[in-house]
Amino acid sequence: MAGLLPGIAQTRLGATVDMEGWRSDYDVGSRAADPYTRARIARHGLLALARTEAVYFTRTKDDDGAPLRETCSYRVSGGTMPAEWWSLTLYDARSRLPANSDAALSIDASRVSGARWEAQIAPRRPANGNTWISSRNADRFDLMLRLYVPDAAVLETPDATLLPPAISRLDCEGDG
Amino acid sequence: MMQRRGFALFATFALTVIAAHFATLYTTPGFIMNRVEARLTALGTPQHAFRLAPRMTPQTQTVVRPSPDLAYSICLYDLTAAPEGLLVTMAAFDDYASLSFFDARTDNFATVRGTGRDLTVAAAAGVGCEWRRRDCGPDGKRAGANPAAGPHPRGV
Repeated sequence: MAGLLPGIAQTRLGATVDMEGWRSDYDVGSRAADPYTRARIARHGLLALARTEAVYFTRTKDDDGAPLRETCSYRVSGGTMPAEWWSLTLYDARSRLPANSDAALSIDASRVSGARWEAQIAPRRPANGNTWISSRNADRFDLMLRLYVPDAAVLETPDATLLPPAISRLDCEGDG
Repeated sequence: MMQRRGFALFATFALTVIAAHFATLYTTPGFIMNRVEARLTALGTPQHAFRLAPRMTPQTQTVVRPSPDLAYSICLYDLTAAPEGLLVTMAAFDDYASLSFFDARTDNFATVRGTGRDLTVAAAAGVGCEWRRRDCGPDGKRAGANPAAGPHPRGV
């Protein structure tokens, strides 16, 4: 059902993976998880599946290293994912879906076409008709990338296999 | 003398803090799973039967980080109330589907992926089909079923 919060690491340290700021712990859901991982997951990613079924990557910052926040809008873009199915979902700082009724909190493989895709993250629906992920009432937030039935190479050599989505900041409230 | 007593007090304090830290660390998953179980029960989730949860939205979420893109059916199980284990049948579904077992420590100890056909899974405590030996096939598995052996009697 769920995932995990960011841990430590460069590209890979033990079961912890960091792909350009997208962080994952491949021990999530498994009996191999250490007590710290287990306690963290129990609080922030309960009912996460073991890595052969799904892996979860979380990112809290944009491409410039600034925290993701509701007062800014972003373009998130990516390509084909090495998995049977994927989704990208926005969660607030309490690991909850933010309290809005926009019905626009995620995108998934079934809603994009072609090798490249992009969406706009903003508190209001973009006037340009772009695919929208709503950050309304999220305040500080993160994005979770779920890869279901990931290719074996994602588990073995993630840095050579996975090109994670980019997140570029478009503008912020108060920008001149 | 005072120094030795001070050290003993500090050592006792430090050991108490360390013990409390590890006690919290080890009990947190079980504690949270108990709360989830209580919450799911309050929402009408039956034991040994599935409840199709409403689509996950900010208004319906019951656990952290639910996926709004997936349909969840949830079943609570308690193998102490089903000493011979449980048989779970996944109905045929053309798209991605999986049956996942989580124990009382939050471990996803078994997942069976949908195949597009009806699929039966035998869930039991212990390993293999020790729980129902009369049904064991020559390979040690229950005939016609995928085994899912849980390390704890209760889970989701």
